[in-house]
Amino acid sequence: MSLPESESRGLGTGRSTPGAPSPWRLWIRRIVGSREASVVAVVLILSCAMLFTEAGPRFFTQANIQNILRQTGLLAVFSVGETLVIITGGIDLSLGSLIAFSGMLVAMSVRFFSQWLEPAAAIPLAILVTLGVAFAIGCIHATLIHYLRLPPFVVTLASLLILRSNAAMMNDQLPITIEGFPALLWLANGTLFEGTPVPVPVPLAVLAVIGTAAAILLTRTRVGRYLYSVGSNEAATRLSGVNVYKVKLFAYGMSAVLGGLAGVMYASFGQQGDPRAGAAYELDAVAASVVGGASLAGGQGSALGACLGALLLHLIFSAINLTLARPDIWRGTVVGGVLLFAVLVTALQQRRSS
Amino acid sequence: MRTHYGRALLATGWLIVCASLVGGGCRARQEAAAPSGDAATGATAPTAEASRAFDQPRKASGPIRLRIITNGDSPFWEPMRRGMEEVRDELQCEAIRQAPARSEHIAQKAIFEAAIAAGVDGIAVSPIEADAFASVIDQAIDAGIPVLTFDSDSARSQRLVYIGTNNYEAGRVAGKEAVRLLPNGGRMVAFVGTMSAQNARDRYRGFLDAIQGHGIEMLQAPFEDDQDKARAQRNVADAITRYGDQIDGFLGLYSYNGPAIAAEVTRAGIRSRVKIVCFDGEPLTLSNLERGLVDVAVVQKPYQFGRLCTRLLYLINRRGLPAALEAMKPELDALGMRVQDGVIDTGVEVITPANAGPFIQRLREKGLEST
Repeated sequence: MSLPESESRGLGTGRSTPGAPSPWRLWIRRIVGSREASVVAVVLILSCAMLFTEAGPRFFTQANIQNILRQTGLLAVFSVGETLVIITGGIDLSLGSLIAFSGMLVAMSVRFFSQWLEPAAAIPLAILVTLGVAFAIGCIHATLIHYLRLPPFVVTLASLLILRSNAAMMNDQLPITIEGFPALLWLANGTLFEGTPVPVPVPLAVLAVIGTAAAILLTRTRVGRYLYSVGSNEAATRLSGVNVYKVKLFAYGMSAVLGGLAGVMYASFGQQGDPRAGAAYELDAVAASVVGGASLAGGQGSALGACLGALLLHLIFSAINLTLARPDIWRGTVVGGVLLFAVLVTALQQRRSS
Repeated sequence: MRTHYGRALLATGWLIVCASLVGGGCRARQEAAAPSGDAATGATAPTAEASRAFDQPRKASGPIRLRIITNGDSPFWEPMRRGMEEVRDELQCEAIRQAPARSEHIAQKAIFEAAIAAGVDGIAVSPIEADAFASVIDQAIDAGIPVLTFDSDSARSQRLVYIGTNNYEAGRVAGKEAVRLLPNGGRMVAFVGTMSAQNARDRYRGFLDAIQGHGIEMLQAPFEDDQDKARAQRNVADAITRYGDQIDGFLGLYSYNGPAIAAEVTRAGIRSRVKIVCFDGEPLTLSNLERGLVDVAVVQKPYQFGRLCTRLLYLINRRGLPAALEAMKPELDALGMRVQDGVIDTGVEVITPANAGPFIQRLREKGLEST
């Protein structure tokens, strides 16, 4: 069973054996050798490379950086959820459809509640209802996977189809606009500290809260250790007395809640709940997680890695759009190449550690 | 063992060679049989034999079952469905709209072939791939089922009539509007779902032809988004970052490109110095027009696609094709449309902030939110 990285790193022991490298040196070596550091290095190299292109000055404008960070925030929110599931050795393919479904649900609910309530009350209530429904969907996934022993791939694939269809049913395949709710639109389009040298897009602020909470959960809590443990060896975890169902319930529930939150934010971004939104976004989330160091075999991955993976993907999208004459033709090749490279690096790291 | 592998490899090789020869031969025969000419240049009339086969009433009495097959699910098809249902209720026939789950040729073909197998009395289809769908349409015609195309044609097929927008002309209309908005010329950027779709290519070609010689230049090939709205919006933001002050105007070729352009232009605070031309009337495009956030929307008439397809298929069954077209003439005249070479061009409307209010009012009177 592999432990969370912080556990295996032996942080905080503060003791050193004579002749052995100091804990600080070990700590730095581990940081430098970590997957997250590799992604940061690639991000830095890519950014430096952009300096030497014709698009360099435009790439580093505040507007472009804001745009990249906003998009990263939107993608990383549900990539963190996907990572929680991947760590347990599962996969959640329903996220793209859940984004469409929850976007429609929040748009429908906010319009419904606003008939009786002020927007200040209707909006939070609509978001809560949406997240509640999303959590219930995640719980259904976990229950089917655990008690009926159905493969996570199939359960969430079925859910992908059902949710997409339900999203289309909600308003007869039509989008529902939320133009009349500026506070809801602010959730994805707003900026904190606007006018200062460091404006922060709201999705990035949301991600900061979620990412920090997920990182603490994974590295500092018992639930986090159980998630890695289930992904590494489910049978051994069960035999050691851990309630595996509750662990899966947590992973799939949180993944769905974060997918629901992403749905709310994408609806806000596009100013409407849209039954066609989020198509194939689950694959972007898997890509971000894998680039960030998650292993589809389970037991590996981190919230920071997922966030950095999402950042790298959007940096690449931006670089392609700003430099190439036909960006769309190259997008798949470049992203696929990066993904393949990331998997290769993971495989090499695993081989070296074993 | 090695001998077995060798034989297996040899046999596989022979099979591949034979299959290639047979396939190549079939393909050569198909190419020889297919009429020459570029499908993109517009529709051609159906073969005389095909239309003659439907000269007489096909089903003078009894229930009529029709299928209207779109190229996917989109708000654009909602007015089409309304139009279809209105005529269905009026004529007391069965008319069902079907769509492939994804905008994919194979899935659409399966739906179409299921309709043939069910022995329906007429099919109207908006083919995803014009040429590849020709043989599928011909299969239905050979089976005695009248087939119309709408929105997107399959000119090489034996379809009886094409009902829809001439996308090249629609592109020209958009181009003329761009020339009007930028009388001193300027530089524009275009956005589209995918340029592999015939309607997108035709629109863009028409647009380019219309702006030629008026000093308007496109900064690059259209940004594509694979029909992902968030990516469409991101493309606009990147275009603004990439070209900045060089951009004088934006062109949105797909229905959702208009709202995506308006949102990012507003965010960048450059609305006052750029012009926005887009296609179709999604709800957000219409409200953006009302608020002056979009300069021009060239809108199609999907409501009429639904009405005309359903009525024409019904009448072909009851009276035969020539009599059916004759019977529809008053309605077409009233709409300013006419039949020419097997094509009913439904035309487009140009909506600007000045006429957006009355246009939206007219839509609402029909119970529609978009067009």
